Amino acid sequence: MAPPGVAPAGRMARAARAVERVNMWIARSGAILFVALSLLVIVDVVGRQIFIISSIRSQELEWYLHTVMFCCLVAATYDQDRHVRVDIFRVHWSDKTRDRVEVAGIFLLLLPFATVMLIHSWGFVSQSFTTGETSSSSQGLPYKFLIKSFLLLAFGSLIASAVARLMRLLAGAGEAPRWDLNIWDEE
Amino acid sequence: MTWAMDLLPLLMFVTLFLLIFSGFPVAFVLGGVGVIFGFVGMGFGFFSWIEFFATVTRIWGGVAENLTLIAIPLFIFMGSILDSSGVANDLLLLLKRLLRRMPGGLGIAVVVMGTVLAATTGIVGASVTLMTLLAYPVLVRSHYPSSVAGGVIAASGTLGILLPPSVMLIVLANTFAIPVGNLFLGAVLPGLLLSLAYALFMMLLGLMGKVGRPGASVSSAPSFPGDNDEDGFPRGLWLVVLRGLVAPVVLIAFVLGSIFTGVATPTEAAGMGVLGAVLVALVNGKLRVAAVWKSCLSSGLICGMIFMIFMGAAVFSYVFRSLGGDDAVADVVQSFGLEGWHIIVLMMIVVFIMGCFLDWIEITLIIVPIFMPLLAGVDLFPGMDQTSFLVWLAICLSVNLQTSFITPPFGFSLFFVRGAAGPSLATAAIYRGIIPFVVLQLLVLALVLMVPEMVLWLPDKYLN
Repeated sequence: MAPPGVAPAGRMARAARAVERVNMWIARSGAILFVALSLLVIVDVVGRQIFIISSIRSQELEWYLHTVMFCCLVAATYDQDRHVRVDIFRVHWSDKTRDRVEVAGIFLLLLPFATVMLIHSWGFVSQSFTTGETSSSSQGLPYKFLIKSFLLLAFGSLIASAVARLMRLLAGAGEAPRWDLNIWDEE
Repeated sequence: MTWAMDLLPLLMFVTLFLLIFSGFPVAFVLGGVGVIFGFVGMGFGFFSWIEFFATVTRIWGGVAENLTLIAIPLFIFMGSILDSSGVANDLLLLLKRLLRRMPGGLGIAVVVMGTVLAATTGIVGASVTLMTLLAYPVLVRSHYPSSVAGGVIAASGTLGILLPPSVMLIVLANTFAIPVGNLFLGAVLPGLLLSLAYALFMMLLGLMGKVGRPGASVSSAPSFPGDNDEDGFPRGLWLVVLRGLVAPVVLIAFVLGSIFTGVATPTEAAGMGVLGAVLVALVNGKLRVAAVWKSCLSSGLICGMIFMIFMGAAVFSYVFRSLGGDDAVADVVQSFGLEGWHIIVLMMIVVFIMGCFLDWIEITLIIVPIFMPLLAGVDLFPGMDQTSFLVWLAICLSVNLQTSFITPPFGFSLFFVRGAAGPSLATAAIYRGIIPFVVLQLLVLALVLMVPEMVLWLPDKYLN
């Protein structure tokens, strides 16, 4: 229950914030895989020098991790406004114009794209689930269908992120708070 | 109905171009225009709903199950960790010390710094920002006009996209289906030639008295506390700095060496590079869990950006092709009777013009594939095998695409310099300052186009 007197705008901004928080945690889980992926590659390389082992499995695990990683990160990249924009005109516009263009872009471009991709990913993933798809190689890894389902996460969280942005724009709540990523000013 | 068939691909391309200027994220414009024109095509009966399913399969096969692309996040991560270990700072100190008496010495120091950062970190945004923060105030204090200072930083910081290990070369290798190692090795000479050209230009400006005064920079810079030499540097400084610098350079030599000699795949080399970067940070006393975690997050956002464009571009290209876009381009080219060199030159001009507005990822993923079918009949150098031809072409494109970072009005590096330098650097000044570097770059591009040996000499010598 929202406390009495809270404007709908405030409620929308808080809903947007909640979505962004979920996206942030998804992104954090994805980002930690940078460490896992590096370790895996290192172990694979070193392991192959020392023991003569087949690395089909670890190579498959590498792209499994890589796929999970970028699927987890696309939504937060939009929240943090880190997707590339060609902003030669945009920089000269008023905030109001920018907001309108953003709303139009979300409705006309982002949502149709992400929705169509989500629907077809659903077909793609469920096909894989029903056949219990595993690696095409006999020595490969099982549970390929699990990895494929991260496509649903990618496009699903992207839609959520777009809706959160819409709510922010409607509530006039500005942009999502930025992560502190500065590694140089610490000392 | 046939008019629609002919017109749709053209209309699709024009729509893409116009909507990109709305400033909405390029990845979503690509995907959105793809989906919308898929719907339009369905209205005319040229496209079917189920074909969108094929785009998902395409994304899966081309982006997810793709072993080459795994090297991208790893190289970005390696660069980010090296960045946080303070390589750039040490480098600038050392170079200022070494080049203090040379005309245009400080400018040359920036060029050398850009070249080393290019090979070690290779993240253009980070290199340019860092170099602006470190070197721009020093340059301006040493009587470098703000336009020249901004120009040399933007141009040198952008070398990272060309010099190996480079994410752009990995993506191009993937597009052309050629080995990454050949491209890495092929890019070495043109990349070094560029940085040599920049350095000579700075020296020329110095000799003409247009920039700085030898030694002026150093004596006017704040001194270091403690026991200093006559130029205001602490004694023994160069030893400390060298120690901090040798490690990353050796690391990159190992990473590239292991790729060139075929010991490791680019992905394996990148993974070992991450390990090496962590060790370098450890040796420099700069290894912090918080910094590594921030490197994970910021590398993650870069990957989210790159791979979203991959997905958007996959949808756009699929629909474009399905609507007959490739044939339309081929028809136009054939109707003008273009062949051989004409096609290559046309490609270079198109990429250069596109580069003023777009950046390398979209160009590599959208424009280059459109030209691919046209290349089949091109035989410019009798006796050259297909791989060598594609390596040469890919490097020509890389040099051209590097220019896209610094061509006004939309050049990423220019924005980074402007953003980091603050209001003291006017947009007009940076546009003016970058022009000589764009010209130098085009000269090198012309040279690489005319002398393929510049690209192929190293790969032929070491890989075949």
